[in-house]
Amino acid sequence: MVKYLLRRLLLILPTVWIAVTIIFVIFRLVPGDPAELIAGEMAPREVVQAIRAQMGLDQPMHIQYVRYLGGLLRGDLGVSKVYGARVLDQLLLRFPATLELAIAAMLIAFIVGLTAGIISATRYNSLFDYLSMLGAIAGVCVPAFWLGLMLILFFSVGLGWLPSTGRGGLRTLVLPAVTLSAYQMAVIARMTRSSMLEVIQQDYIRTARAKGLTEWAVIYGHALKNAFIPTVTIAGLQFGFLLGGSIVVESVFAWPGLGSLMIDSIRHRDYTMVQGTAVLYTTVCLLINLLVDLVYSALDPRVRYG
Amino acid sequence: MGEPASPGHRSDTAKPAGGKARGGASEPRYTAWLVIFGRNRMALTGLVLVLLFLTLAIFAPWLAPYDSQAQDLSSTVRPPSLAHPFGTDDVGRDILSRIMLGARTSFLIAVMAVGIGLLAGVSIGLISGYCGGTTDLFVMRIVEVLQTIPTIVLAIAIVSVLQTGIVSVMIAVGVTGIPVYARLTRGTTLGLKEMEYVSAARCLGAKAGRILWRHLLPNALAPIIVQTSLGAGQAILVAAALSFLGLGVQPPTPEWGAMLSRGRTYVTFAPHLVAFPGLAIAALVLGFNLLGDGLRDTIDPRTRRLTEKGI
Amino acid sequence: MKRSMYSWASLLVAVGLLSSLFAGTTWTFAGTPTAPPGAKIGGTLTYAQNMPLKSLDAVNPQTYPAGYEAVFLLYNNLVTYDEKLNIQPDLAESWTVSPDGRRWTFKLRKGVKFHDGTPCNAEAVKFNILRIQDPKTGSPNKNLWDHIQAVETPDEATVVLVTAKPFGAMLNYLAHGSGGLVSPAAAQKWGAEFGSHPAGTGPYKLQEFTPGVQAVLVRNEEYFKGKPALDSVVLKPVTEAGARIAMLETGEADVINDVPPELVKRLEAGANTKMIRVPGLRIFYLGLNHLKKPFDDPRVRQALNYAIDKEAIVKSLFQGYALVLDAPAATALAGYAGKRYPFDQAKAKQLLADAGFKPGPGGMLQKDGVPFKFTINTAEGEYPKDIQVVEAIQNQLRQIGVDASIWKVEAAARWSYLRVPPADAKYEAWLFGFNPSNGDLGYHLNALFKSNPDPAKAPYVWNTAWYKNAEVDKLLAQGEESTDRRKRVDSYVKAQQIVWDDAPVVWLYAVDLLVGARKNVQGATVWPTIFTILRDAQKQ
Repeated sequence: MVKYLLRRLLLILPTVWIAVTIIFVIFRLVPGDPAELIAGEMAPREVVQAIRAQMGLDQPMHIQYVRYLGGLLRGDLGVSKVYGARVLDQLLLRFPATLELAIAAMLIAFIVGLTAGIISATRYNSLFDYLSMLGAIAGVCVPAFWLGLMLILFFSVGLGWLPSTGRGGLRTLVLPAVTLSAYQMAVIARMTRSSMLEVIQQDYIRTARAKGLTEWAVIYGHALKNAFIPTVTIAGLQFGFLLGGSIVVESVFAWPGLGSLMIDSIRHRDYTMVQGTAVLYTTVCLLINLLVDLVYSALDPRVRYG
Repeated sequence: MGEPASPGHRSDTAKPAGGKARGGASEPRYTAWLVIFGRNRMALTGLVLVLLFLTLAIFAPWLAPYDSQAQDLSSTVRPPSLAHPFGTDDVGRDILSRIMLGARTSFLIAVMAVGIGLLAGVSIGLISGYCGGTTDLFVMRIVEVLQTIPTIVLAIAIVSVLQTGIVSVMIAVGVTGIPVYARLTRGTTLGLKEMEYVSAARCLGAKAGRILWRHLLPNALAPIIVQTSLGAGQAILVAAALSFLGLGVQPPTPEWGAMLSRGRTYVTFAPHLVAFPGLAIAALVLGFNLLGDGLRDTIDPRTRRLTEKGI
Repeated sequence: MKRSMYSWASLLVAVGLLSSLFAGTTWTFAGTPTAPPGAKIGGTLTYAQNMPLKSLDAVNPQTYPAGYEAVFLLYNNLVTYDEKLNIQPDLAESWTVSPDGRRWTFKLRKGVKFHDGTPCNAEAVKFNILRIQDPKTGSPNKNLWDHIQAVETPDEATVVLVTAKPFGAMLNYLAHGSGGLVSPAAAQKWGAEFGSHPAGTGPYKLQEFTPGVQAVLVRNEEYFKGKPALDSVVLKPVTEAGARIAMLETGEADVINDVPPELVKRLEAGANTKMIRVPGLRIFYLGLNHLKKPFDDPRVRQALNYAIDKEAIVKSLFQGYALVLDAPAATALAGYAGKRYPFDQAKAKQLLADAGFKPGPGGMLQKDGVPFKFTINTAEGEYPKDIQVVEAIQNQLRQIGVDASIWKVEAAARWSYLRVPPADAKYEAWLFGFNPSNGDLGYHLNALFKSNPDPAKAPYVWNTAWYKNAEVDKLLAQGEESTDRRKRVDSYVKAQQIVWDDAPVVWLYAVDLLVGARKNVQGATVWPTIFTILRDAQKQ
């Protein structure tokens, strides 16, 4: 077990390295000179040159690359000339916002999704089942940004119950988190339902029922636990998708997290900031995957990693 | 959708009634599938939706009431009326016509993007799974990275490099789809690699390529087909998101995501600019998803778990 | 009704601007109090801007106009504008100009301190000017300060600025946002990070700055013009127009900028909201690259001017909140009005026919077998209604047989396509907006229409059309050097006449500045140079 853990942790390093390299290369190919962007429209040429030198953009690519990697190893993600601040500081400043949003969305998705899935499975083919599966289908098909705009239209502009933008307090979290959770909620609901349905059919459940246990015990004791495993696995992977999905949602709700930072940085060709954000995303996703695998192995004794 | 598997429908226990037995795949299996599919109402709905939009996409220029580029600056942002059932947009174009022509754009992007992802992903997966060893390790690391980088970010990065336009969107969305096909194919390949008939073929001196093509591929095909439909839906959503962020097709090409993005400013007093394109996206994606689910249920209910885990 | 209101407003602004061209007189004014009598003291004003703040360093606030709007709250200049763009004293109480027009002597207010407690004196002024002139500082506004040859500090409260040649527009340049005086001590202490740790003399000082989230400014109790009314001002970036409107209506924001024209009436009618509308100096045109045929032919350029229905664009896309251009500069700035190019498709077609274009397959024009095809470079959301205008233009051009296609790029990358040497210039036509942010007509005309000195290098300022007219150059040089107001105006009017008739570009419109506010906000003004000025604002 420990050996597996160590091996997985070690494998994260080369993966992050590959991600950084891919992003690095992509963004050097992009048209648009960041030095010019920072200098602004009216800048004389010598100013643009000065900025370019300061950002290290006048060096050949491989030198820039090596320098950046060196900085990474020291924990220095560079300075964003666009913001006039250290990349690491900006990331740490904005990361909690995205984390807050992602966790809230995950919680909502889990609670609502599991509940709906369980009830649907136990009331198979009822009206509730039909409606909730309809909702689940919609959740997977509807584009997040559209859902966000519709929610703003109804709850913010129409009813005035909730604020439409920004971050500050629980009320501002509601609409963005619900929007972000929609997809996962749908997936979890369907997954839970089908997993439970499969398990309910299995023989040992019938045996348990025959033993005279109550309906509730049958459901919670057996079906749920076994249905939980695939749901957890999916959920873990989905968290990675959530981080990605948060980018668009943050844009709709002006949520000041990593997603909007990333979009902004890409628009301004802020290479250092984009690289830093990418590194952070990749590392977090990989760690989440590892965590999920560990939980998975803990839940299901049949799975053991050597 | 979600009906528990009844034992009688396990297709691979059906005896081949005729035709060549190709390493486990048998022709009549497909007939059985058609029957099962036909009984699945949800799947049929999906198929109908997809076909409906496909018809729109092909025949839009003749079906649309107005030219999608025809502007009327004197009647901008008008609510739905008899003359314009979906209203007009911010330069006075008919929204219904633009939605119909947008179907064309969406289909084009979906087909091309899935095509790219499929070809590249399946190839990578087959090679990686078959060769094994360090090749497998290296290739899968890259695939894992591609999967870890959030889809939108990767797509934005690629579009930024290639410059906005429909081709860039296709490539970008296609590339983001590669990991799923790669992992799917690799998983199936790994499992099948050790099976008897493959070893037998190898003993008989068959070359690697032949083995891949005639034995492994047909068996990996089933979940791939399922994924194609689901992937098409995904592609449309990602393309719409790109357009929403301003990185999609060039104006004035009608594209649903771009229409949504443009209509955003007016949402408080003219929500129809946003509502209809969004519904169009949802409807087509719904079609692809139902179709994909139906295919999945038809082929093997247990495949569901495999595709979602991406193993 | 609207027309006459605009005429009066333009007249007033024009008078104000022209009178600021005066040189050779002594100016003394009593300081205007910040808060009018009976003002309510206290409260927090939230200003939702349409773009984020990146840096709060006066020499390079980076985002435009958001950065500069913050700068005007944090810093003072030697002189500043009032809402009619008249020059008013700021940190300088009075000034004189030497008879040869080369030495400007400013008497500074005594006892003014920066936010970090250090004194604002002649040494500080000298430090600031040298700082912005230093290429290592990396200020894009450097070329607005290069005309100052030397700075003398005879005593603590006197500064003399020496220029090589007489420079009539000196005061305008000093009032520019980049002229905000920073604390030398703070600039030296923070170096490259000064942008997030600013220290000026302004009515508000920085308490907390989270880039991309908000900047919180609190009252400067020792402000030399008197205690500002508000406890604090919060600046938030809200890029989505719909979101800004929502925030204003719910009260989450007290002031918002860049209101979409369609929502102006709604805010005017709102119970708690009102509009501030000011004709802007920013002009928009469809640039035409004279290095690419057939844009070197004036008949073609004029034809395009007739082919575009600018009135319709102004009426429907801007709901009338814009003015069709009558001159190469905004009406308020130009002091001149040429004969407008009316929407006349027949005339356009005729001119193109004269230039050798004949209808080809599909009715699209071609000359010598080459179709009349070109791309229009634009971004989306960079200027108000930019993509809609370009789509409308494309459509209108199609109607006379011109095949224009849209080349949309990201706003951030646009300049790297446009401001390049001719060898790299791929652009043919592009939508352009130019705002003379120091309110100086000379700067406006020079930046756009003075011929580029080096044909192998990128355009000197913004003459990306590569327009060249020796007569215009001569007149512009004359205007820049004359200190006589009448001669300056005369030169610029003559220059504009030539430029207008040459039609180097397709003249479009000047947009009104549309700022929304809660009804209880008083004292907020908008300068025609785009900036929303909140330094005298208060909440009732």
